[in-house]
Amino acid sequence: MTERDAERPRPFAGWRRALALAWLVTVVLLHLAARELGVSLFP
Amino acid sequence: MRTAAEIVELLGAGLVPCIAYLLVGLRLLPRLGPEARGAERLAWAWLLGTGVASLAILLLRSVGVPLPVFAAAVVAALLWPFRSFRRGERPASEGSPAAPLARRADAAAGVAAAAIVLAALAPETYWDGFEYHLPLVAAWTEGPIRALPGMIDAEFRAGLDLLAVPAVTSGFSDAAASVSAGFALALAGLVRAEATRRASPAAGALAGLFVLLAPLTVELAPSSYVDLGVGAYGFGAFLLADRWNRGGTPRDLTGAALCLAFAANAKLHAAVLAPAVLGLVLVGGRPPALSVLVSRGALLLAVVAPWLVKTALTAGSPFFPLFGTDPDAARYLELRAVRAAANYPVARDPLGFATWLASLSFGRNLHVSGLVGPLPLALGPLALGHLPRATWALVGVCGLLLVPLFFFLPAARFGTPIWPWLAVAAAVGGWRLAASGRLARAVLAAALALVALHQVAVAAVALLPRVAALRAPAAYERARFPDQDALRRMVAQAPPVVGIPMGAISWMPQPVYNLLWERNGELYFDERTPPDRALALLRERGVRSLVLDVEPPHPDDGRTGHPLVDAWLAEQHATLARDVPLLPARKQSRWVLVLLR
Repeated sequence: MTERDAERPRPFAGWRRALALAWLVTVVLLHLAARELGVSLFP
Repeated sequence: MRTAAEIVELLGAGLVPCIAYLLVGLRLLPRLGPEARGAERLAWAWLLGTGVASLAILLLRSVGVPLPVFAAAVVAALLWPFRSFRRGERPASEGSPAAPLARRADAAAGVAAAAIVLAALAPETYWDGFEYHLPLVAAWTEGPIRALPGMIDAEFRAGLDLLAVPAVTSGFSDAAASVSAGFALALAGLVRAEATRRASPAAGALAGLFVLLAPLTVELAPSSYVDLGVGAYGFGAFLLADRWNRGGTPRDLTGAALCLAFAANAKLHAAVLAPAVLGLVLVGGRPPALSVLVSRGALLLAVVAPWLVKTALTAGSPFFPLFGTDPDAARYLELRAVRAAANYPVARDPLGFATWLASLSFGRNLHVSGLVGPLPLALGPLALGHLPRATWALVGVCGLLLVPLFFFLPAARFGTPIWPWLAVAAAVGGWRLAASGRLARAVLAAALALVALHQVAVAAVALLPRVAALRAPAAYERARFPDQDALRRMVAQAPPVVGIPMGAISWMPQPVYNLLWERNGELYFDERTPPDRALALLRERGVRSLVLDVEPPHPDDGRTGHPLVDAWLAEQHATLARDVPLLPARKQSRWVLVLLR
């Protein structure tokens, strides 16, 4: 096992996995909405 | 319409100098560069070769030595067969052969890279490219590198612009952007390798692919903007400093010093990366001996010295426009600060900072929003967890650098030395998610597919018309900027030198003077300047006519709406050319021709 292998984060489980997936989907959808529809809370 | 032979010539003008730079780098890599193989090795060679070649071009053009594409071909031919072409050893960390997913991602990246390189050979239609990057290179190919009154950009660093000298000298200014495309590929190669080391070959290959598809890359790579180059040098310096922190050799710090110097030679404000990288090696857990730091500092100074000398000779201060007392330089910096605030009108406070970070992924601002794509924010934070000291140091230094970026240079393109780390973080975060069960893997795959589909569509819309434009460049230019095409036709009828209000300087068929203060550095073309003083300055620069955009009602009453011109018309220092058709400018405006007496 190399040093880089040792520092790799452990997989998600339980509520952390659900949160990570929700975050991924939210960011991707918000990005597409801003780029294609011009809908965004941000300038 | 270009013939097939002319397109081949254009390809040669774009590719031959790039191959020469790459070969210079491959020759120097064993002594000065880091250990690497495959695409990463080519990327490091590209960084090294372009940095060194740029210095050689600076020195040779300073004494007027012509450098056409043929000269680059001779350099390439002299360097072609040599031992260091042999592949390096495969690092143990790379492990097993690439998975099918990695191979497919690499193949897709190859297609994207080819599209980017071809698109880069289309006419320059990116604003800073045709307004000052290309005109600057053209001026320095028509005569030796020298002060160019009325062109303030000639007083700034232009290390990357110089790489276009061979193409422009040989009459192929459309080929200049091949250099920027080369830096896009280099960035993708470096990110791919680092993400492979930190995650997996598949994550690395996907990270490389998404670097090429990122909106910022698609926007900058086919232009003669230099931000991808500055980003590649800066990212390279961070990579090597991080490598040192993890047990690397002093040669890594040699490479880091060279990358920092090349970045500062390309844009003076990139010099801020030097203290950042120094800080990284000091806090990364393995501070180098003082003698190592001093010797690398001396190397850095030696490599930036030619530009310090050049700027001292032509602008009077080696750090122009910084640290000087020149009132023009001070006003220039003031204007840039106003521009930065206007381009991103968000309060510079903690809430504004958070808004800016969010806008990098989703917002509406032309200069900032969405340009890094969604994946850094969607997947990057997932990489956080139990990190070693070297990585925390990296996160801290890059995080600190975001603050001056937000305050002074909020446009996304100025952050290119840092954004590649977000791609690496996204790769690690994605790898972690993929290892988190079948459902997580399925959602990740769907999200990546959706983002890829979107980014491929956006890239295709931007790049494919440019590839088609290789055959019909004039039609493409006309379609992209009809007002600038009309300006070009007006300028063709005017006695040179022709004053024009900003625009596609490099398209113009006659010598022009840019009336925009940000570009000429000496004249506010408005009521702030006394008419007599403005007229005297324009005469000093040889300006005999002006082509100006005039709002309706068009000047039937002999007034143009430009205060200086109206004053000259009233005092009969100028006349309106009545026999020239008023071609359309932007919106309702028309171009008019003013003849100076």
